[in-house]
Amino acid sequence: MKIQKLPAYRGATGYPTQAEVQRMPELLARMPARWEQSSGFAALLGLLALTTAPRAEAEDVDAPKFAPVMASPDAQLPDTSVAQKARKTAAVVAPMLEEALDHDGRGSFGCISVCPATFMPEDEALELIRTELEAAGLHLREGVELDDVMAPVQKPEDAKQQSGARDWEKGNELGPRPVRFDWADPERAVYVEYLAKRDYRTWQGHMVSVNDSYDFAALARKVAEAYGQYRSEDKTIFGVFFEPLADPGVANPKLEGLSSEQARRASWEFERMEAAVKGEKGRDKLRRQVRHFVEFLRKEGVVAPPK
Amino acid sequence: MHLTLHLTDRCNLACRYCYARHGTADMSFETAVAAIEKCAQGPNCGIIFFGGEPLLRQALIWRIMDWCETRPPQRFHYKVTTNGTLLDDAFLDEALERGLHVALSHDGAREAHDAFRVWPDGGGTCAAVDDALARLLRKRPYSPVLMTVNPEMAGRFAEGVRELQAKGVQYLIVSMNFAGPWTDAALRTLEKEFRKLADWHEENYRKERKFYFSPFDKRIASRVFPERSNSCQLGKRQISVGPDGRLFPCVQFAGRDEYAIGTAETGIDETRREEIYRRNERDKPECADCALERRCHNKCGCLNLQTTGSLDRISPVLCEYERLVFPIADRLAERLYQTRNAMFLHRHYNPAFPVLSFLEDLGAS
Repeated sequence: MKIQKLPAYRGATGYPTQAEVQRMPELLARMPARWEQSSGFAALLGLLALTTAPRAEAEDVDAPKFAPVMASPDAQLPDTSVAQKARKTAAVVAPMLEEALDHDGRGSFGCISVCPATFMPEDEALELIRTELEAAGLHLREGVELDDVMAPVQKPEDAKQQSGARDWEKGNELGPRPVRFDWADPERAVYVEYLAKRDYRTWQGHMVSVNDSYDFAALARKVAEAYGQYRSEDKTIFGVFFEPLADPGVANPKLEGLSSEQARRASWEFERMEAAVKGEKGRDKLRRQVRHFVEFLRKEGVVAPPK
Repeated sequence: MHLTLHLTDRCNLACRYCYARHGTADMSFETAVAAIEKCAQGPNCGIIFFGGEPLLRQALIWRIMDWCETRPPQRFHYKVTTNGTLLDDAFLDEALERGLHVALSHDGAREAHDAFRVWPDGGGTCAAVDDALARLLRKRPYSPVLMTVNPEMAGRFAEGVRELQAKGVQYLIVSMNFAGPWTDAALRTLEKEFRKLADWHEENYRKERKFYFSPFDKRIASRVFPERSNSCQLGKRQISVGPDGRLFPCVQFAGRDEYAIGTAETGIDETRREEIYRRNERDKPECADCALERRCHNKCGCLNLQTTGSLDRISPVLCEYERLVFPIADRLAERLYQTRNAMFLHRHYNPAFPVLSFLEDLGAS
């Protein structure tokens, strides 16, 4: 046992300070369900609303807040106009699978790449997601749009900074716009997005270059953060999955002493085997992301536990 | 400002990890009121009845409270910390009526509790304390429970916490017995237990169960309110008064002559108090550039004195412990924030949470 400094600890940056939350009052708009479901609580809040109504009218009703009401004699009671505004609540973005965020979704292609990872065919990935979610009890529809979802695209000037960039998608601005989701269960207010290669180009403002590098995990974090800004009358849940870019993980065998025809056939067999392994690894990694999301939906009570 | 009155050095238990000196001295009523008159500063003052076992002096508690109520405009609030074995319904009823808050010591799982919190004959006290806990929570559901974790019982930590929750506890303050024989293996065991408890506490938030768990919630608060000091401001926020009337900067210092900062008769020796305060506040060179320096307990004078024998030195066990708990607590908070958990957000970010929570309880009753 010893005394040891942690100069680079960044563990606490994943949640805000109170000063930061004061600039995002919508975070407190949604009350715990046990408060909302308590009729006695609602009645007492209503009573408070009556006693504080004159002040509430005088205040800017567009600036919802909870005033401090501790033991201080000049403390204010909570602004109950928030209780009415609470109908519009911040969305919930399901936590992504940590092992995927740590290890998957990164790869490079072109002359800089020694052993490029493999993209999954997008339709195959979407079908896998659909199968898993429907097995869990969701009723999915394709291409459902939600208005005013924040689209987390990278601005062109940011894209310019990337090394090797020759061009970038134009017109990408961070802001609310309709987003078309890959799968959605509108009844349960569950919307999922799979970040495939073409999404990367659209949302990351990706350059067209002989050397491409991808970081889907970073993009997924950005997308999740942006979706978290969405507010609606119902509790909306977003799931974000991303291309795992599975590493092939197959050693190239040495082919010696073979005739040219044998070498060609062996090479072809090897490529076929490598493709199969890559595909299976990618499917397995994506499946784990989706099952992690399903587990979250079960904890939230959105889908039933397995029988 | 809090004043901790050590009403007696006597105790009816013989807990194996107790740091207190087991004497026979009792505080007199005159000493108590003299200390309050000299030391209780400001319009509001907390009086904490402490020991030994303070419930051995029940009559004195009520007498001191009666006297305090004759002192308006100064207002007092009161708390007693007890081992629970003398806590009966009559005392609880009177405490409820007079506004005396009761905090109870309970170490969780029976085996962990009975290994250390024992009668003078060595028998465990868990059964007696369980009865007291049930009585207390019936009358005051949010009463704080104080749990001490010993290295020998680190593996029973999570189980003990869950058991206390099952018994109705909703406010749990956990202290490590840093003076115990901690080893690397015991710390690794403790880390595993904390990881289990992180999942358990996440579930508390998801299910919107009210439960304050100090190892996590206190550390999360240190991130949410970075402007708040992690210093206890030794000798300034709290003063301990020994049975003989000597004044000390905190409870672990009681009885140590070299740390006395005055007497009930003469009042606080400001020069001495300032000297000890400044010594404790000095930045610890071994903590310079550590990212946790402003969040951890490295300035707890009591802990440093207990574990290293000096105010100026940090215990390696404490450092290991803080490096172990902070990442788990921060990760838990991050998960809850990412999912915009309403109970988490309101508990930690809504200044009105205590009032809203109280309204909910009122509404439910």
